[in-house]
Amino acid sequence: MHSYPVTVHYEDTDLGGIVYHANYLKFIERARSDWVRKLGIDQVALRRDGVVFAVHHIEAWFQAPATLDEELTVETAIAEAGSVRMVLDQRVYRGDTCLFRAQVTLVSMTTGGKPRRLSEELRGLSGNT
Amino acid sequence: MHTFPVTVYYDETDLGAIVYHANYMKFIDRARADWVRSIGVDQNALREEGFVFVVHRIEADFLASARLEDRLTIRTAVKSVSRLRLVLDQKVYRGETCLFRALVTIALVSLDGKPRRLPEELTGLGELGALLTM
Repeated sequence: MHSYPVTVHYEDTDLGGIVYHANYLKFIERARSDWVRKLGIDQVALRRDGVVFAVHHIEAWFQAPATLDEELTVETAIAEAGSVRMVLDQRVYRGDTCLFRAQVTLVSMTTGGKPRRLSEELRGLSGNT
Repeated sequence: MHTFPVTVYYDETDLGAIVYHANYMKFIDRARADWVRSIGVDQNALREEGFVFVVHRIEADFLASARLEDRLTIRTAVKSVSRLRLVLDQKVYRGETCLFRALVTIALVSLDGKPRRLPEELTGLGELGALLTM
C-alpha cells in the first residue's frame, strides 16, 4: 500500500466550498506518479523512449466532500496487473473517513498510441504494492 | 441531445502530447453547465439559496487521444432521472470518432451536504421530456 499526502489548497475548491470533483483525479494521479517514481520508473526517460502511461478506464465514487486546508491521504493498491494494463484501487482519506474511491485502469503505450508492455518494475508487482 | 464545442489548448495537454485525462472531466462539466443554463437552471441563484450540484459517481472510458488544436464536440444525453439523481451519458467526439465516454451521476445537495430534490427543469425530463428538450 502506497500512501501520499495532499493538502487542500484554495485553487482546489469550487463554488460549493468543496474540492472540485475533477481535482480528485489530479490528486490520485500525483499519488501514482510518486508511487512509480519510488519504484524506480523515470517517466521523463520513458517519454524520451516514446512510451507513456495512459488512463484507459476510471470508475469513481465521490462519497464525501473535502474542504480547504484539510490534510488528506491518497492510498494506492494494485487490484490487477497484466502485461500491458494494470488496475489500481485508489482511495482518498481524511483520517479514517474515505471521501473518494476510484478503480483506475492504466495502460502503457507508445506516443503513437500502440500498446506496449508495462515496465518490469510494474509487472513484477501483482497483488503486492 | 445537447452539443457543446471545445477546442484543445496548450494548457490542457500533458507530457504525452495529448489531452491530460482529468481535463475530459472539465470539458464535460462545461457541457453540463451550458446544458442546465440552456434549460433555465441558474446555478448562481441555486448557490445563493444554499444548494449546489455534486457529482456522485463517474464511470469513464478513454477510447482515443485528443491533441492540441483538435476541435471536439461534447454530446450530452439524459440516461435516467429521478427526484434526487440524474444520470447523464456524455461523449466527446472528434468528427465521427468517439474519444471519451462517461456516465455521470449528479445530485443536488445543501451546503451542509443534505440531498435535495433536483430542480423541476431537470426532473421534468422524463423519457419523452428528455427527447423533446434535448
